[in-house]
Amino acid sequence: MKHYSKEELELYRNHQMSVLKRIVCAGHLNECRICSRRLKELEADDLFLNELRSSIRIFQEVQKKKEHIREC
Amino acid sequence: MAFTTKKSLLRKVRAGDEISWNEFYQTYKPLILLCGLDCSLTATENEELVQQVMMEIFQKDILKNYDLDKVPDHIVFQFDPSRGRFRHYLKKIIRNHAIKLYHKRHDMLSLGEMEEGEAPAVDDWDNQWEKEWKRHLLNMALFELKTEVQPETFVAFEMYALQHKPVKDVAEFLHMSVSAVYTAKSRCIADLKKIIANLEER
Repeated sequence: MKHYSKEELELYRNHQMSVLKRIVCAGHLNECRICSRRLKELEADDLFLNELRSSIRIFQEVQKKKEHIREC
Repeated sequence: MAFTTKKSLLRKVRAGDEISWNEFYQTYKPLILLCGLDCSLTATENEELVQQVMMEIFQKDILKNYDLDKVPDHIVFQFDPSRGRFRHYLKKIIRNHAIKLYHKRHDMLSLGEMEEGEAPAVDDWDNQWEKEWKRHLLNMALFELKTEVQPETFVAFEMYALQHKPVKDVAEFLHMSVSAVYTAKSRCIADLKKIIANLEER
């Protein structure tokens, strides 16, 4: 059985596959544990990225706040 | 600050090497400020917290001679690994000074004049610390990542995964395929997780 790569699954979940390919991929995901696990990993990556973005934003804000206080 | 400096700092702390004031100050100042905010310190108290933590760590009477942002590089700190983990050492120092500052303010005010916000209880503070430390690690890991992957890989990751730019725009801008942008994202996430695991051991 051919498995989908993470890149292909990104195309699938981001609606960048043709309709036909998407139908085939959805059918495959229903039956293939490896690919459905890979898809779940991508979803977990999204959560990780949310945390990362939030951390960057919070650290940037605290820096800006400090600079603003200094300027005042 | 150069990204390489951040990387070397983290390694040097663990190795017990000398760390310059500036490296340490730039890297840990945001973490100290966030901890101060968690303890409901005012902006002025938070400034004082940073100064006091830095003074205790560097054990030098530098404040009288320098602006905190302009301390020369020969002022160094050396962490003794036999003290245990650096994160616990730092946590204790920040917490002690934050509590002192909080109590100092409350000693000066009568109960009727108490301001908004309360210093968190020990358990809350521990939880907050873990959150702030994790944020700190994520930021540090990102700096390390930048030194470890190809520049175009990092830019693709930054634009697509961090700045949420449309994948097609990123691919076009960087003259790469959409699939290559996704590969860059996967690669960077995997590397970041490894870096974080490595940092957590320190």
